[in-house]
Amino acid sequence: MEGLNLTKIKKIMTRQEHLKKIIKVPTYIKEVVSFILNSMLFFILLNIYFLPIIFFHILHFFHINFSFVNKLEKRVDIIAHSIVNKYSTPGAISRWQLIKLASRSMSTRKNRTFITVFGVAIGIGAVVFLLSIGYGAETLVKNRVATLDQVKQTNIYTNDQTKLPINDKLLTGFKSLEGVEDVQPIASIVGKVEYNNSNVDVVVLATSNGYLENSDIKLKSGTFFTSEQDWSKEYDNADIASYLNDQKVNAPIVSSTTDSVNVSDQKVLGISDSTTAKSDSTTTETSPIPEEVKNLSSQLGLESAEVYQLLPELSNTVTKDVVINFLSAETLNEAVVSEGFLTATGMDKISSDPVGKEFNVQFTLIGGLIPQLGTQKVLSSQSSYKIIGIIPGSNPLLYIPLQDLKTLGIKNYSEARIIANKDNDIPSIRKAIEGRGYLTQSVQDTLDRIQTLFSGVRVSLLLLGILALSVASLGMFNTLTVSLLERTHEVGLLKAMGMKSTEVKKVFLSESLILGFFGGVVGLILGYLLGYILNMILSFFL
Amino acid sequence: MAIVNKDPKELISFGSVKKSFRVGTGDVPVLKGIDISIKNGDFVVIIGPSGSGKSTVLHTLLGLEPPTEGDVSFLGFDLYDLDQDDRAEFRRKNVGIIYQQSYWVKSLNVMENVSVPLLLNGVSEEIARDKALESLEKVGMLNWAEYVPTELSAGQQQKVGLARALITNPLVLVADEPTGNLDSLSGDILMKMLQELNTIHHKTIIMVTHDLQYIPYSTRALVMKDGIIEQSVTKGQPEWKDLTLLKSKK
Repeated sequence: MEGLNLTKIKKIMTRQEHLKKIIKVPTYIKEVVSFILNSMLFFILLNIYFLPIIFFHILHFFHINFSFVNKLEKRVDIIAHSIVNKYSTPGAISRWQLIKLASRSMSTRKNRTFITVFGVAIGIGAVVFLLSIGYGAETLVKNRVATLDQVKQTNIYTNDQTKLPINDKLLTGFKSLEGVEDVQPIASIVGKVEYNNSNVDVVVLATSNGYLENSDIKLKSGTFFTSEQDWSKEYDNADIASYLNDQKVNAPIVSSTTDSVNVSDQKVLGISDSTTAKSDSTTTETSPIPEEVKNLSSQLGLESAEVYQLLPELSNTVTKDVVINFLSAETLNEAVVSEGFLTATGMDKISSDPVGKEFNVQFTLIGGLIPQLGTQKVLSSQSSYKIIGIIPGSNPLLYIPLQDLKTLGIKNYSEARIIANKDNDIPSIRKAIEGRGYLTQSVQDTLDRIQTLFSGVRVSLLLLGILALSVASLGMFNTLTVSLLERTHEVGLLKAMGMKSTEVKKVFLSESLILGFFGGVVGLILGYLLGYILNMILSFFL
Repeated sequence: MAIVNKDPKELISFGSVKKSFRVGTGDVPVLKGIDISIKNGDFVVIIGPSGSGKSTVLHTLLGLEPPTEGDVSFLGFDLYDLDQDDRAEFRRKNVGIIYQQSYWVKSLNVMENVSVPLLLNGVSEEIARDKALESLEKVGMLNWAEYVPTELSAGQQQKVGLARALITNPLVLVADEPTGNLDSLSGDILMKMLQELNTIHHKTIIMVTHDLQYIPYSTRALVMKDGIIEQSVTKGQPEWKDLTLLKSKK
């Protein structure tokens, strides 16, 4: 009988060995996994043990002793008991008693327990505090750099208005891109402001409604543009049309210094200026690069930019004393100006509240905005503008409605801003735009750089925190070792009375978990409070 | 677990048990072939000078010290066929122990310390508390239930120790020099208690001592010397008188 059993057992054992060879799970991994799972379970049970006790202690501390509280306490105690003891083996010491034994032996050594918990708390508090400094500083810097709205925006530029113009057609196309909420073009030109017999040149930014609202520009007084304007509307300005027509008819076809250049295309607009007479420039409607330059570049095997470098006179501009009149019926004549504008024009000295004041301005139109102008500049007629809003800033800036400029016949914009529905849409939108050869810029680029910078800072702060935590855990290790050595007799006694090694382990594991638990909780509170105090101090000074 | 029990009344048996400890490079033999048979209801005293191997016998019997050679059977079980945890369980179910120096769980009071063996058996706290008070009453220490054990005198501590050993109502009571730290009066009181337990409650008691004056309380004496049992005398044998008279010579 015994022999039979032995062979059976041997068979089973060899089978098990075989299985073990097939499924190679190292035992230490199993042990580690089961240890982690057990510790997690123990941690949860520890919570169930301690939280009601702490809760009712607090209630009793504040003398809340209603009969229903006492009834509740008894009920909760019974429930907690049954949950905690659910996972203890019958016939052996219950887990409740193990935890109680551990907590009792800790409470008899109050000072040591307190110091150890405090050590752990400082370690964890340091990690929490340093990490929150890292995150907090990042958020602070990010908020300084960009508002939430700005994260959803990207600006479009072009480095070649002739080849890649930013015009209505393009922007309408972009507006239909997925995720795009709005497109806001802006045209920047130079304006000559005349006020109280003084002339000042200022930067004029013609914007659509909503552009200023979506920037992080704050109004000092007055309002932004209030009148409705439709930037995508086309205006026909007779002045510019006739001027361009005149140029087309009168323009002699000019040959460049190299005689071999053949310019015979009828479309070529040869523009010559008799007063300066030192430069010629040509523009075609179909090709943004002058034929001359094109031919030169093909002959010399150079890029057009290099041709311009060799023959700078080709790119020279000419100012014409031609005045283009506004379509006055369509202009809004409202202006938002910077404080710098008021200083430059001397308005601030005359009136304490310049809102409502009027001034005259004349704009200089350039080829970038009206393609047919090429490298020429023309002036608009002088027009009166009324200040409706004032923004901070020392640079002399003048914002006017885009519609006003469009009545002068401009077709292109200097740049445009695209507003997305969500900040997540920005990367795909930018990709689509950049795919067409345009340049984009977003505050997200800066934010990304900030994030990279701060992740480095965070790692170093975290390392510091971990250093503190490891010192704390060494302290905890020390406490537990001393506690174990001190209680060798106690452990011996318990084992002699029949406590299993695993149960003894559980008692000490409970102690370390209790230390860690309270250390963690106190540490979290400590870290949070420190962060909160720092936040208060910083918000007071910043 | 091989069943080797032949005599139904036999509780514990040692079959040519040898034990040696490794000290440095050499083995030091402590038990050199011990045969003991303890029956239910015996009050066995193991006596002998220091270093004779009395405590090793006790530890081997409790399952704490595996023998180098030989069999130890307890209630018919070959004790060392069980693993360490099973031996622990066996011990806490069947054996009560009293030590020379009482060890306590320092964070617990007298009553709680007495209830520990029951708690280790998974008994609920309320029942364990009631039994502990009952057990304390038996040894006359009920009034000290709320004290911390280390506040008590050595004699009182041994009484509490006895209460703790008895709380599980074990088959066997093992005492390792229980009177070692006591004055003769307290020692006598404790021994009378043990004797009562044996005669009235029929508890099997195994006690190790080097004090010959306590032999008369027992029913059997095993005299150990240099790792062997030199003499085994039962109460009523002619040698018994000689043995009990030895104390006056000493």
